[in-house]
Amino acid sequence: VRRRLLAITVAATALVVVAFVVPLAGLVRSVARDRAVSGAERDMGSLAPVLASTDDPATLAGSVATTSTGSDGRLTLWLPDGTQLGDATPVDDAALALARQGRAFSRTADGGGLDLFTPIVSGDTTSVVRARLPGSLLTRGVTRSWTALALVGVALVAAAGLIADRLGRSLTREATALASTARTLAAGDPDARVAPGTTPELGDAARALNRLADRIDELRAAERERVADLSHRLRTPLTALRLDAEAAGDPDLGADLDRLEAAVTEVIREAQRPLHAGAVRARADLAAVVRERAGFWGALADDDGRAWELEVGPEGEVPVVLGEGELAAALDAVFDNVFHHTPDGTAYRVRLGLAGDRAEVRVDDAGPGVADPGAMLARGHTSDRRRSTGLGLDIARRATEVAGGGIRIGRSDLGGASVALTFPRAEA
Amino acid sequence: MASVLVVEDDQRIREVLARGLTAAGHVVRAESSGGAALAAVVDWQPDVVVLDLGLPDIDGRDVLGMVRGVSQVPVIVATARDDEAQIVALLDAGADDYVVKPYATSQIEARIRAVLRRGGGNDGPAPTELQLGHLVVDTARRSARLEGQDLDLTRLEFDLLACLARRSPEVVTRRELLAEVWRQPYGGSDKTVDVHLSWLRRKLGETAAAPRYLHTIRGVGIKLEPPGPGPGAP
Repeated sequence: VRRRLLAITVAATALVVVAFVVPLAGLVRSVARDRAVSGAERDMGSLAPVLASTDDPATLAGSVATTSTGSDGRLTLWLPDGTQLGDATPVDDAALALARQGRAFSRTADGGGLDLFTPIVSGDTTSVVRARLPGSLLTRGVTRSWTALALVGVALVAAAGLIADRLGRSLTREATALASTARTLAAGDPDARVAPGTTPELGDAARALNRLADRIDELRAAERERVADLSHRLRTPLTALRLDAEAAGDPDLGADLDRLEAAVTEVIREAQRPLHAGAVRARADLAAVVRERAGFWGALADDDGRAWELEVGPEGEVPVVLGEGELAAALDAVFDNVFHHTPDGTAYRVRLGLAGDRAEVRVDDAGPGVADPGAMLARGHTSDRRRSTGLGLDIARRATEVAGGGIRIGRSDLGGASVALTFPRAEA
Repeated sequence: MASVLVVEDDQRIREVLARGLTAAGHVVRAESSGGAALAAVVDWQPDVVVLDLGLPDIDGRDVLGMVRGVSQVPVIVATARDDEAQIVALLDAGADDYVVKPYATSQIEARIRAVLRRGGGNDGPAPTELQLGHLVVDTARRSARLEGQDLDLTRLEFDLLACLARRSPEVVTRRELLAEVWRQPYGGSDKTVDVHLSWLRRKLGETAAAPRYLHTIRGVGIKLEPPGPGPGAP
């Protein structure tokens, strides 16, 4: 904005300056020419009274020499008898004859100059006066005046540019502060506020942004209270149940309670998640998280005597629209599932591949496989209620769905189950 | 055993917890409100307070601040919220430890033991450095050394090692580890414990097949025990 405002102002000012300076420059040249011509005409006219009073060549030569033009050696007087006094520069007979006929005229001379011819009639005789005006005399002072005009023009354009830049800076400062505050808010700093500037529209936008931030604060506080209340209301009776189950010493009851507690925790965590997966949502590099989590679980695989391999097809980052923590939790759920449902020593393979605009993480194992893939994705489904809450793959499913992807369970080429998590690739 | 003040507004929880802690050998007094709890802290001077945050008269956080104003008694906060910011705020406000609802009596007992150990309790100051063979676990500095070499452990790995070291040579079940280290009875599956144990084994320079310090007792749990003197041992 600042640069554009500066360019517009400089262009407009330059146009105005040109519109005024060009005619002014022409006027200056015209004035200089008129001044030179009128000075010469005055000198030529001053000889008329002298010619009326005397025809003495010496007196007349003295009169010619006393004029400004004559003292410069540019004034010539031809007497009726053809005597030439003053400037000895030759003249062509035609011009002289024309002047003797009583016509005053001027003609262009070599080097851009001007020769003025004026007849002076005294009785029945005619004398002729010539004044030579060289080009330098006709344009005397013009260059200096034009230089001054050009400097004034440049100064005007520069001043306009400076003022426009200062105005633009104040405008952009406000707009930049506004954008910076919006980014800080989006990054998660709830205290960010912007001071409204002097520009009415931007000041209004700043006040609106501050009100929005206040509203976000209120909503966050209300949400915290709501989640705290939800946690308290759900977990307090669960505590009583847990203590009762502990006193009863029934392991099945305890296991059922574990699953109930896990489900309640998941409900509370879901309540804390944002409703929309927008641009603000954290991103993660799927390739990096897959490598990290596969390596993490690899330690247990080595201890359990499981052969495992990791194949990460794409080079570089594979960004997806999901927080690193949620992504790691989804992958952990899949790994946990493999370790839970296959015996020690069972091999597995982790593959990350790309297909169009989607990335897929596939975990294949050589275990007994899955009889009912659909049931495995159902919340709370577990084949071993004492050791598993049955929420693992449900957590993975929800995470992929939040990121815009999905989960598929099938049979792997290793003979066991195959769990594939797909994610749309985010822009890098 | 310790004198424990249980502050909990839910009658059922209060009664069962008091009964459980009494059965575990503690002397228990149970109160249902913040005001009564403050009076009990001053009059009764318990060894430890188990404080629920959702009290009917005064907010539990305010009760915590008031207790801190009159006493240095260890306070274990029982909270229904498990978000990190809330936990950090409670610890900063003066809580010595916390337990997330729903909890088991065994968890509360473990926390009571832990805070009493840290504070000295009835048995004098607890050692902050636990030595098991060539393995030294310094709970105050949160560092561990094996044969003089510092171990590079993550937070959970250290907590796991410290928990097993404190209870050595007892066998600790995975459920107990989930409760003590992950702070929730269901804090993850058993495999969560197993994978962290695998990393701990790696860092201790051993494997599940050839254990030295970490021994898995199949179907029961894990115990940390220094290797006995072998034929070549000094």
